[in-house]
Amino acid sequence: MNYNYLAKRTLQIIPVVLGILVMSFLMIQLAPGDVVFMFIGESGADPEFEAQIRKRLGLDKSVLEQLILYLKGVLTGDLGKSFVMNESVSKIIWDRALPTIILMSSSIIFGAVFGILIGVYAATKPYSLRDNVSMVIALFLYSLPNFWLGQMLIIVFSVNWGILPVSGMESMILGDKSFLMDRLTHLLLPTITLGSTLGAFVMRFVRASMIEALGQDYILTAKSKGLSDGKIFFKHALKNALLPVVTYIGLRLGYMLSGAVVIESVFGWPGLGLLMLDALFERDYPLIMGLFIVISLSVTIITFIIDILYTYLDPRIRLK
Amino acid sequence: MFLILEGKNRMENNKLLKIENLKMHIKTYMGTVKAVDGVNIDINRGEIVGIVGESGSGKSLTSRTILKLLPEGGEVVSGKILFHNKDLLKLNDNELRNIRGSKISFIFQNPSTFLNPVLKIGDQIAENILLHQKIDKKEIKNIIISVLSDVGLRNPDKIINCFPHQLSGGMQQRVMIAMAISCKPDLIIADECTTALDVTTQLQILDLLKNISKKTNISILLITHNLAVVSYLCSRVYVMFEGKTIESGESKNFFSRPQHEYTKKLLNASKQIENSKFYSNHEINKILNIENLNKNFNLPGSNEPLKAVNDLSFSLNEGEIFGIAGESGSGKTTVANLLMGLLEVNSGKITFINKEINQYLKYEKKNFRKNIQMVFQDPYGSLNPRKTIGTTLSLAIKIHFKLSEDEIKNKVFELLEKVELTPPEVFYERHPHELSGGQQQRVAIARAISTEPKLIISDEAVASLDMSIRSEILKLLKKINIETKVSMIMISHDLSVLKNMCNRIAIMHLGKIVEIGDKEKILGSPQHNYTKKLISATLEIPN
Amino acid sequence: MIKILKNINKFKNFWKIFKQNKIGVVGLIILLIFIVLAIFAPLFATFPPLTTGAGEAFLNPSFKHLLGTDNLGRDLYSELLYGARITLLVSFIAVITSTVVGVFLGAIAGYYGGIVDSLLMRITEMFLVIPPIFLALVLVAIFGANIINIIIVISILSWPQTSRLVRAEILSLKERPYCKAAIASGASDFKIIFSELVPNTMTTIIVNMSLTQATAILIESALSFLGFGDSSMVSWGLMLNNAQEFFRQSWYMVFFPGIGIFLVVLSLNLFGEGLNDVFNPRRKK
Repeated sequence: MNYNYLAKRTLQIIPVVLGILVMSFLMIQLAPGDVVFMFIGESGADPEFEAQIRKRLGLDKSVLEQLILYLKGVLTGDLGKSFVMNESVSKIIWDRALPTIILMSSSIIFGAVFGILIGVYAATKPYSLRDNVSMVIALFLYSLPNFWLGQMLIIVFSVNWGILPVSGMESMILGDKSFLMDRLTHLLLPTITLGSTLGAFVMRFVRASMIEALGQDYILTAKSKGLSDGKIFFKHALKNALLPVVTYIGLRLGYMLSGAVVIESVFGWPGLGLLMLDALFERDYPLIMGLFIVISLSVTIITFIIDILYTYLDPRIRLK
Repeated sequence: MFLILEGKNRMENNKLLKIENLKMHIKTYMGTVKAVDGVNIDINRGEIVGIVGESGSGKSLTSRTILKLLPEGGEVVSGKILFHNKDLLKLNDNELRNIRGSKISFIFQNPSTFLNPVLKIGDQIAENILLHQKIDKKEIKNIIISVLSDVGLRNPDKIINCFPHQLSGGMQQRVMIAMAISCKPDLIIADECTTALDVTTQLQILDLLKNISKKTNISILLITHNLAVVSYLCSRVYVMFEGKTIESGESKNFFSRPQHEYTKKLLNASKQIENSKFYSNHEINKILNIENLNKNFNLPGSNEPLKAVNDLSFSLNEGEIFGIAGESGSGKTTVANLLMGLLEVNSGKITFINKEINQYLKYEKKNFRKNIQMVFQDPYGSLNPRKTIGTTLSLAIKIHFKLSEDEIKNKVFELLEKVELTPPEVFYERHPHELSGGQQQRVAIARAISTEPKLIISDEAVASLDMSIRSEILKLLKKINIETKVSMIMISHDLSVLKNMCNRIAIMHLGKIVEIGDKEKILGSPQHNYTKKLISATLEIPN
Repeated sequence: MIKILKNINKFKNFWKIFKQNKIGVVGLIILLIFIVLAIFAPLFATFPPLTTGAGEAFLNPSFKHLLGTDNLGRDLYSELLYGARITLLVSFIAVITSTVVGVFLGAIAGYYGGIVDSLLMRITEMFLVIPPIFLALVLVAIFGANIINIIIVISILSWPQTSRLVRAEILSLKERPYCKAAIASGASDFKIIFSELVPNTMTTIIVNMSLTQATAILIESALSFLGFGDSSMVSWGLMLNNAQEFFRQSWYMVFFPGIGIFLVVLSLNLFGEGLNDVFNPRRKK
């Protein structure tokens, strides 16, 4: 276990975490209009009442003190209370997290498998027809606005053919379908929509990685030993080529979550993305910032874990 | 199956490999390259044969064609490769794969890139054995251990589970050799297999190959650009030029009586450079004084800093050519970077023309930069690929001299003529990629002298150049030293380069100067053990 | 004078090679078509922008309304043309600003290293983990959804990627001997960075600009689609937002704006690919 690398990476993400927290704090401060007016309205109010609210919200302290309070709160899990829903932000987020986690997981698996399979396939004969077609497909896929793809899929499969549900995560009435099937049919289109962009990028990456691996010197050594092309491809090149895919997918997590917001909107998927949109419409600042922090920190931590995982996989880093 | 290799034929046949009039052409989108254009080579049992040639001669490609390891677009156009009297070129893919790694195997130049970084050493060797021989999986481990100890590796049982990056360069090359001999081949093809190694390690590997050949009667085909290596190891030599074998002969006769014009040229270039007069100033002015220089580097993942330069002291006189010799890791390039002010000193004093370098860099930076210049190892990398030669050469002149556009242009023309790049108007407009390696290096030298410096540092300036070009560049540097009396520090890992260029030589090892003195004394009667080792490892062509 | 001729020559050489790359040429053609349509939208359009009641609602494509009408009777064809303007303008300005900022910061960080570099790396890492739409939404919610803000927001989202790319290139280029030689010649840091090193990264920067613009368009449309774009202007994303409710009545309300976005983004990506092939040629059979 390469503890040095572990320590170094940990030290690196601390400023990122802090940066995100400070950034969100600043954004709240910069919001035009006083937060207090949310409570007392535009019409003037009793100055004493105003002062009371300021104190309750901690707005009477200096900016720096507010920042420290804020940081303390966040790090202990207190993200404040929603303006609109009258519950703690943490609880709201916790309740709505699962659908997003399900959607992200299935999309990542779909995209990764799809991308790796086609990427490897394209690399078996570089610059040939199969390769060019695959790369054009990838190009098309990541040029598509994903929300439009979602809409078109709904129109074709749900509206016109009626074989898949239009929106939501579950049907109101199960009818003759099993619980699992119902969930799966609802999950299908969102997964394909969200996963296809990732698939396109992974496809290109894997292909490039394979071609680079195949051009390495050790491939010539393998050939000189008399190994068959197939063995060289799958034993020598593939292992080298697929290693960085793990990290690559980690890099795309932020973008995927970005896409998830939009997809949840298109499909009415009741996850954190939809929650964010509602919060934005209602100007529910604690919830907005809470979501921002939770999502960003989640990505940070997951990327960190993936990095550590990678050091375990790559012998060059695992053993120094 | 390939039956011919088994049985009695082996004993009777002494001639192992016969290449007849081999031609291999490569189709590129720029046209057809006649990479191998008429090669004739014989190899007998137990012989060590060398192919020598400069870059582009086709020697590597010839060796790879033997087993049809052709590059993209490559095609054998004509010729025969008779191995045990059977033409290898007529075999199908399956039969070829049976020979690869088992009857004929390869050792390549750079073991760190030629070994798969994610597979264990044991696995990579086992793969070769299991492919060609029917061996019980339980026996494999023992066979690998024995073959690893045959190549002189200690703790073979530990090495089996190691990955390539955990071993040193020399150890990795031994692993490659182990892999090559694991199936007891008839022929090993070694393609520049010691070029990437230190001088001392190189000698060890060459000796290892010699012993293996003697013990097991394996023939070796050695490909190299280094004539000294060939004379050390090979009994017979072939010279290749532009894809053809132009001369061959027994090693011992070959070096004393070359026939072909090109061979003569090659040999002359490798031998000693004209013993022309050095510039010697009767008043000995010290131009550079270095006292107790120290430079440490912090290595990632290690608590101990690397002492790249360790308590170094020496001085340089005006007009002198001073040599620093050492292997990679000795710290010689670090010294150059410190002198140039490209790296910060940890402790110690560098005094240049009566002032400390720190003072210069703080207050008189421009003046400092004017007076000390460097020529680098990589000729192409020394020039900005997007700028014309003229623009590149004008840069320093513009900074240090107040001249009009026309005057600058004329000065550049003068410089180009001084480095023998004529007609200068033509070279002025060219881009680096349009020039040869030797020409690029001349431009780099022109740039170095453009500011009229007092000191020029040459850091392995000829290491990347072909043998024939090397001597020309060294002659040019010598000429400049004599004409302009500029002092020079020549850094090289190759003592033969320093042999006739320098007045004095310092030998560096692990950051320290182990011996320093007049050239004749150092080379003629070395005192320090390391110096002796370095000199003996520096292979020379016999007179 | 000679310099201009030299540049024309360079361009001719570039075009000769670029011509052969079919992908890039197709991309360029599509892109040019949209640029022309956008610039001359008033000429090509049949109705002024956002004209409700130009026809009945939900009409199918016909001669009068080439692409049909939407739920408020707006002519889809005209809306599409005016939407092209926003799409191309916003993304283009965002790309220019983000590239300038990104190149500058990336080059400085790459060259000087140390604290400056660490700082830049941490900042760009932050942008890597924060999902772009999230940040864009929050910023737009706070500062308002007008076109200037949207351009600024997209620029903020785009510069980190550019700066990382440039930084990586500068890091490797500064080790090249010609950079050391330039230092040895006494050139100032500024001159070395921007006169010697950055020009050698131009090819990367230009390819990156094309791809960045593609991404910028996708972000802008997504923002409009979610309802956070500038609602006073026609935008393809906004049209798709509108179409959400009316899947059953009219699929072409969904189809045409989306195809528009897709084609422009595709053309930029194709063009970028073509450029990449010219600058970093791979061996072809």
